[in-house]
Amino acid sequence: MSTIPICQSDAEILSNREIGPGLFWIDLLAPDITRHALPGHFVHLVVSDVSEDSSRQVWLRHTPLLRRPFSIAERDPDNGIFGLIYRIVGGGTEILATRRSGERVDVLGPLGRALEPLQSGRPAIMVAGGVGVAPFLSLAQETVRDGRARPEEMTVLFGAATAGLLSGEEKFRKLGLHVKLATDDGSTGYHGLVTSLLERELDRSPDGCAYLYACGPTPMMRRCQEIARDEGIAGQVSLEGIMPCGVGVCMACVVPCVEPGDRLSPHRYERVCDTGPVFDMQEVVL
Amino acid sequence: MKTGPDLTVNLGSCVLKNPVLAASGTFGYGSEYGRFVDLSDFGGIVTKTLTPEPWPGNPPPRAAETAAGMLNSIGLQNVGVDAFVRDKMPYLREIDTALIVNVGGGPVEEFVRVTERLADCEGIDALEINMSCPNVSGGMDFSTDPRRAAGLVTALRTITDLPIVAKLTPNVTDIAQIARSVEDAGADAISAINTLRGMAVDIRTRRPLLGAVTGGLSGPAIKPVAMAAVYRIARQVDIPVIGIGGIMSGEDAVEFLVAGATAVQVGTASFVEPGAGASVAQEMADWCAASDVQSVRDLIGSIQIPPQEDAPCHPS
Repeated sequence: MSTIPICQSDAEILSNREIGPGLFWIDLLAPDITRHALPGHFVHLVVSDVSEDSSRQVWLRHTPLLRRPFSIAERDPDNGIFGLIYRIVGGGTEILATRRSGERVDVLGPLGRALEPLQSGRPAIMVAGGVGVAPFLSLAQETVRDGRARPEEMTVLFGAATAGLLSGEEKFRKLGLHVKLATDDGSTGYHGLVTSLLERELDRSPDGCAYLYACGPTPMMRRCQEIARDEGIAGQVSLEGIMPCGVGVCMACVVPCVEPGDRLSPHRYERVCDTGPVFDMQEVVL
Repeated sequence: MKTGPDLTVNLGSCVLKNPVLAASGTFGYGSEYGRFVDLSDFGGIVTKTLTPEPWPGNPPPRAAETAAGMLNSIGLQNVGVDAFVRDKMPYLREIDTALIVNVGGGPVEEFVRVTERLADCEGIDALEINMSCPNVSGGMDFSTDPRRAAGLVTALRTITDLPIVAKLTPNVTDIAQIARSVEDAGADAISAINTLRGMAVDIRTRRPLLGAVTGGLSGPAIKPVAMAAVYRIARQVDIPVIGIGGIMSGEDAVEFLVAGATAVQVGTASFVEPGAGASVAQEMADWCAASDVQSVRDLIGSIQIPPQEDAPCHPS
């Protein structure tokens, strides 16, 4: 269990805009959560409008019922604002996309285990698939802000189905990171999987990666695990999960885990929300 | 809690400061939500089901949202009774609210082992017996058969003086019959209902949404089912009934008391609103004050059933 204080905030939506096809960015005003959040942390949102409205019964206000988890993509601690990136994938995100600035959302956070900080002298590659870019936007921003590592020690390999879904890459460039893109349809950057791009990068500069981060679709992260194991590179993955509670209570969002170095040992189930969402690269069985 | 209506209710010898408890399996061991919710405003907490040994639970995915509810197939993943007493009780003992510990297992002997371990543990106000988990083979059998249900309660009755609350499954033909048999065996209260067996399918992959294929349905979707169960049980037993199923608001809780419940549990609602145990109690108090009800106990079983002459086919 994390020692970071958890806050429940009635956060104001400052903006909620479409930045790509079905892809959105939302900025929320929640100073307590913003103050304590670290890269890799997530928040748990009631996406529907639950503000007092006596004409609707409570259960109707709470449709969809459960909160939805989103990784924090950006933090402006001076103004108490954090940003999230999301894609419409179901009923919850569809409703979130209809919410307007000035409205409020109930937010729990910051939640989960944060990413291992970047270290100077340990060049790192972040492999992002789609909205899996969120924690790395946060990590890059905070690392540059703290001066913990130089931007040129960080490489982002960012893949998506098509160019329009690579929104956010300009933020990395602005921070001075190396950025390489991959698209399934070849509309921009490397034509193919971002994991193939990773293999190519590692071939080209074998000393260019001493630490590997991955967040994206499960097959992408599984391939990253294989590559990291073959190359002997340490790292972390950040996972999603179907999370009713988000704070370690309900035991629903578990993933099978193994002891380090022993992939044949009996599985234990760890909670993505509380033990994760960040796990050591070889710890989880994807 | 403001001064106002009397919210206290009794479950056997266990006195609750208000009728709203956090339901087992939705509130962990208290400390998780206790990080940011004041648990002393709850009527009580029912902890996650304990088995004799730590239990790994079912393969994921373990949850899926459905219309006005959710399916789960956790499969009783828990730390085991020894770790609970050692690691969780010191925290729970300090909370100023009633503590009901939920006891589970496969065969009767496992329930007995857990109960024996808890029997002399200071700070526990009652035991709730999970004789109805739909996600563990065997566990559910106890509350689908009146004789086996009674046998389990009898076995535990002889080894503990703590109030015993029998938690029943709705997945039976006649839940009131099971309730009568556990009352006769010495149960002090009845919790109704556990989740309804349910299933959902992804038609694109043609796979079930749950790793265990079927699971238990909870949330507002099951409230009417729970209401009918509570109403029918309360008419047939003299011990208190704890209503569980889809309670999201104070009015939902009042509805259960009117139908015959003495107390209620909020489950899925806590995932949405971690302070639901307290907010539902406060809303009950506000409702009572506005409705000129002096004590929530005046609500219990106060339902007015109209004459049935015009309804020859009344189903119950």
